Parts: sequence; C-alpha cells; structure tokens
Amino acid sequence: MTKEPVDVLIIGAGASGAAIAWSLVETRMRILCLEQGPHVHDQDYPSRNTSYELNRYSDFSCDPNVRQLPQDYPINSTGSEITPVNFNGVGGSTINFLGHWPRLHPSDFRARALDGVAEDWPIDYATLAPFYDMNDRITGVSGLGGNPAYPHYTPPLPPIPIGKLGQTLARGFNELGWHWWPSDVAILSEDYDGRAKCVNAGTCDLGCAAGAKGGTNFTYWPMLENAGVELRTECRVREILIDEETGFATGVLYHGPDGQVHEQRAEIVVVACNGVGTPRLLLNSKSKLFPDGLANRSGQVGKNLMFHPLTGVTATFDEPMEGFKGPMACSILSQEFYESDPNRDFVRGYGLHSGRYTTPMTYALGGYGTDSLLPWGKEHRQVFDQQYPYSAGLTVVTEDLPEETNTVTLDPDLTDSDGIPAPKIDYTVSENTWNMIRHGEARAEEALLAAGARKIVAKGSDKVWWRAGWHQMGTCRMGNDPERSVVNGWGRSHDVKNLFIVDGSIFVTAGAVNPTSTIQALALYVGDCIKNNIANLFD
Amino acid sequence: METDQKGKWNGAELKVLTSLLEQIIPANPDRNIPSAGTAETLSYLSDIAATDGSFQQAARRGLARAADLAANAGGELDQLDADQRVALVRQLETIEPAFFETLLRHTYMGYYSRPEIRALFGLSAKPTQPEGYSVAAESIEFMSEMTEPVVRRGRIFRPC
Ligand SMILES: Cc1cc2nc3c(=O)[nH]c(=O)nc-3n(C[C@H](O)[C@H](O)[C@H](O)COP(=O)(O)OP(=O)(O)OC[C@H]3O[C@@H](n4cnc5c(N)ncnc54)[C@H](O)[C@@H]3O)c2cc1C
Ligand code: SF4
Repeated sequence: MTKEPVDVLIIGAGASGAAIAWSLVETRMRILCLEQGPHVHDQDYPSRNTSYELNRYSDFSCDPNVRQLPQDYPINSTGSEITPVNFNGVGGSTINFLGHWPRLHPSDFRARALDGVAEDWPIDYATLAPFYDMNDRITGVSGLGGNPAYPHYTPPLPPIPIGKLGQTLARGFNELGWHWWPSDVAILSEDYDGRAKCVNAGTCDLGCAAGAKGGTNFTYWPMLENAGVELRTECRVREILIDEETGFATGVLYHGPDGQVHEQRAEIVVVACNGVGTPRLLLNSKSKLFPDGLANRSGQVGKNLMFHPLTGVTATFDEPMEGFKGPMACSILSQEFYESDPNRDFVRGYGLHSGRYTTPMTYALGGYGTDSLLPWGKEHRQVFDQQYPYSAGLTVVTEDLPEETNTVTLDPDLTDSDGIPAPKIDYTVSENTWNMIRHGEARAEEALLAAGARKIVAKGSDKVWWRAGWHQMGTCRMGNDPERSVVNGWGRSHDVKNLFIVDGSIFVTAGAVNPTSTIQALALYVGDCIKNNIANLFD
Repeated sequence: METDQKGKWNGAELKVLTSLLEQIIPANPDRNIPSAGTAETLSYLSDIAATDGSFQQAARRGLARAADLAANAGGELDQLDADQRVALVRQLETIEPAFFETLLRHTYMGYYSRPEIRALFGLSAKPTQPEGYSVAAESIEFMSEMTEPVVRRGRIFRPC
C-alpha cells in the first residue's frame, strides 16, 4: 500500500527526531515521523503505582531484552561487555532517561589535534553553542551558570537542589581542591512553559509523571503535533528504498499497526533511530547500489560503537543521606579529571558523577545498571540497617575511544516481531578505558573519604556495569573524508544526497558526558544547515 | 513433595519455603522489620510460580532438596538451631546455585515491593508520583559560598 508522498520523512520520534522536526517546521514542508512505538501516557507510568519498583524489572526495564514489548527489537549482546539499553515510543529513550544534561567540552571536538587519538569532528564547540542554548530553552534546563569547566553559559532555570548527599560530597571535593559543580539537568527546578516543577520523586527512569523531566514527549512533541507535523505511531521501518538510477532515497517500507507493509515516499529521509537502531536500519537496507548496506561505501556503518563504560564506588556516612529523594542521576559532577594529562597512564579523561541513591529493591538487586545481588542472611540485614540509609557514591564515567572492532552488525538468526534482522553487538572495553577506571576508582575513594565517609563499602570489581549502555554513539560518524565517515559535517550522507542522520551515531568521539544535550543540539544544527542550503540541498 | 496446582505450595513446601525466606531476609525485631517469611512474600512467589513453570519446577526440586538436607541434619528446617539453619541454606546455595539465585532475586523483589517495607527505610509507602518528596532548594548565597573555591581556581577546560 503506497501513501501520499511527503517532503521530509523522519524515522524515530526520540530525542533527535523531535529536535530536527522542530527545526524544520518553519519551512512549511510536509513532515511525517514514523515511530515504531506507541504514545506512552503519563497516567500509565509506573511511578503512579504502589509497587513501582517491580516495573523496573519488567515492562519499564531499560533493557529491551527484558521488556520484550511488541515495539522493542531484541539485541544480541552476548559478544559485548555492555548491553545497550533504550526505550521505544514517542519520546524514545527520553521517556526513561535520567535527564543529566552536561555538554561536551571544546577539546572533545579536537581529540586528534590535541591528543593524537580518534578523529577530529568537522565542527567545533562554538558552532554548536547557540544550538545547545536553543535546546536548553525549549527543554527547560536547570543549572548554575559560570561553571569553570566550560566557556561561559547560563542555563535558563536555577539549579535543582543538590540535597544533603550533594552538599556532603561537594565539601569533600572542596577539601581536596578539586572541581565540582551542580549538575545541569533537563529537569525543571521551577514551573516552566506550562509544565510543573520536579517533585523529587527519585524514579526518573520510570517515566516522569509530573512532566518535569524534559522528555520530548513533554517538550517538543506537543508543539510539533500542534504545528501539523504528522506522527504515525506503531510504524516500524524495515528498509529505506533507493532509486538505483539516481542513487537518491525514495522513501521507506514500514510495518503498520494493521500488520501490513506500506510504502511511504519522501523527498528527504532523516534517520533518528539511536546509535544502534540507525546502523541496524542502514544495514538492513541493501540494494544493488549498496550491497553492504545503505550509505555504507566507507564500510564505517556500524563501526566505532562507543558507550561510556562506567563503574561506581559506594561509601557509608554517619548520617542518613536521603539518597532516594531527588532526581536519580543528577546532583553534582566533578570534571577534575576530564581533560588529558600526560602524567597519567591514559589519554582523555572521565567525570565523577554523583547521582542520588536508589530504592530498596534496586539496592538489593545490586544497584541501577548492574546485576549483582546483595548477600542474604545476617549480612543482608547489616547492609540494609547500617549501610543503605547512609550510602552515597560516585560513578566513574569514562570517555570511550572509537575502535573499528566495536561494532553493530546484523544477527544472522535473531529477528524482531516483524521478522526484521536484529542487531548484534561486539564490544570490548579498551586498555585505555581500564586505566581510566582504575584511576577514577581511586580518586572517587579519596573524594568520598574527604567528604567524611566512614567506610568504603563497594567498588567496581573487574567489570564495568553491564546494563549501562545508555549512550550509544559513533556508528555512522561525521567527517569530511567520505572514505572514513558516513555523513558530512552537517549530517548528510556522503553517498546518498537526500539522506540525513541526526542521532548519536554521528558522534565522532564520545566525550565523557551524557550525550543527549549534544545529540539534540546537533539535530537542530543539521536542521539549520538543511534550511540554509535548501536551494542546492542535493548538490 | 508435589505442589497441588500452579503457584500453590503444598503444606510441606510452604513450611520449608517459609523457613528459607526467614533465613534469606531475617527480621530485625528492634526496628519492627519483619523477615521475608511472611504471607505477602510467599504470595508473591506463588504468583511467580503460577506464571513461570520453570521456576515452579526448580522450586519444587530445591525445596525437596532442602527438606532432605534438614532430615539428614536431624529434623525439619524450622526445628534446627540457628547455626544449623544457616549452614543448611549455605549448603543449598552450593548444590542448587541456579535455583537459589532465582529464589533470592524473587524474594528481594517480592519483599521490597511492599509499601510498608519501603516505609521502614524512610521512603514513602505511596507511589512516588504525584507527591514525591520535599527537598529544600539551596539559597543562592549558600551555592555561591560552596562553589567559591572552584570558581577561584579559574578555567579548567582546554580552549581550542
Ligand atoms: C535508562 C536510560 C537513562 C539515560 N539517562 C540519560 C541521561 O541522564 N542523560 C543523557 O544525556 N542521556 C541519557 N540517556 C540516553 C538518552 O536517552 C539518549 O541519548 C537519547 O534518547 C538518544 O536520542 P535518539 O534520538 O538518538 O534515540 P531515542 O531517543 O532512543 O529515539 C529513537 C527512536 O527511534 C525509534 N526507532 C528505532 N528504530 C526504528 C524503526 N526501524 N522504525 C521506526 N522507529 C524506530 C525508537 O522506537 C525510538 O523511539 C539514557 C538512556 C536510558 C535508556
Ligand atoms: S525526580 Fe523529578 S524529574 Fe525525576 S521523576 Fe521525579 S519529578 Fe520527575
């Protein structure tokens, strides 16, 4: 069944798909977004249920292999040290993301020039800065201006409370003379733009029923639907179609909610399916012209997969830390060890993140992002009575460097519910990252003790957190060289002139910060470039 | 030992399971914290067994194993002395590791999902939304004072 053609077809209604749609809406082009998931209504979020913690291990798990909902696709990560996690629906992974909102540093765009590793981005921080600001205003970002780890900017809203836990750790960093700053967050510290402020519920991963967290289901999508952008849900794209003569994308084939396969034609195709979903879709779009997958003449589609490998150090203090109160991942962030230092046994750096603490069930099951059950018996009692209420920790979030051997490919056997081949992840944590982790754990321990910790109770073992593949980057990277990159400096495929990619897969390096503020700034930037080049877009 | 039907434990199984749960999460009488061997956690495990046949099978085998071990030690599990009971559960953990890990996971989930247990650790018994928790915002003066040493050190990023 063929549908009426559109000007712009966006695949994926998550963070990046929403941002580029917003950028393009003023062009009055006919914009359609196809999203494999449904609308997830805030009345249905688990945080409104009494036994909300159970949903973290079933239908609201961040792991699609656990959720197994009809809109999810399985991911074979048996060859990986980290499993990718996500959410599929209107809002994408911003439905269950934690809203931590740091920006990349200027040096992140120049890793080759400054440190001789990875590649440089074809754009720089200054180019993205106005788009970061624009996105912060739309999303409603809270934070404290003047962070000396960045060129000056001020978030639109004051910071959220850092709470007892944040204040305690901040004193430790001050004691050592190390950098720390209240986290920038995509969470409202005040009522803003018709949305209510955060109520410190602490279960941001279970959907923010208050609407205080800047998921695109609360920020961009209501505006976009009002502005006439068509959003077709429960529509899973199986393949992007190509005209073998012109080499242009002509549209897509997708599975609709009626169980039928439909063809949708479009002038411009924008892929926004996340760092795993995007290479999967391109690799599934084979043709005579592109036998190895669409837009893959460079062979770089699915290569250079980057996460942010991480581990944590936990300590106990004399007083209760009330860690379950307040946004889950966001209190304070130290970037003391972010920039390269030639005296260390690794290049690039990491952040020390202080999230809050978690709810009792998740604590008993080993914490968020890990699977390591607490002991039973007398030890269990001790942990819960003497440790849990008094706990605070630091997470070591490292920069991952791009490696061609870390990949997303297609699994030969595994498919989703529509029979479309599923992604397979092969990923190994590098020696450089391990050195960072060891360094970071020792520094985290120092900071916690300086903050008055009574005892260090848990450290990362020789493993990184398994279920912490929250950030998926690099698998269709940007670049000026068509032999070494998939898209150019403004997100357009080198090989297919009307195909754009806007999600984290176009990152060249990962930095050591959560990526979504950059993903959305980039999507707004790509949208702007499309508008500026509209007269000769396909040259 | 046979369970009568899906998710229903027979009397002998129920006894062994209750004793195991009491060992897994013991009570803290000083703070009125109950053990996991209560009707609510048992009912959660029954619900799991009713929907997950493989858990039910593994549980049936594991509970029979525990009963045998207790018989070898001289009685029923709840009749052994405290040290003997702990030793027996350790033994079960060694010889039935897969079952034991699954039991542990489900026990933690069943026990801590109960609102009244959450409340014993300072959390609200209610859903987290819409009320949430009250956390005072720090004043501008307080934050300026706290961040002053960081600001004083000056820029720490590499300009490029
Ligand atoms: C638990 C969790 C916590 C996180 N916390 C943070 C945080 O604190 N800070 C931060 O910066 N980032 C965080 N992230 C990451 C953040 O959510 C992502 O970086 C961001 O959402 C990526 O945006 P995206 O547009 O690339 O992909 P997504 O937001 O994931 O959207 C992609 C959309 O594409 C759809 N799609 C995929 N394939 C198809 C197809 N074939 N057809 C149709 N639709 C398709 C999907 O259903 C999905 O809705 C977190 C993620 C998770 C899972
Ligand atoms: S802590 Fe704030 S952002 Fe997180 S879910 Fe609660 S209200 Fe929403």
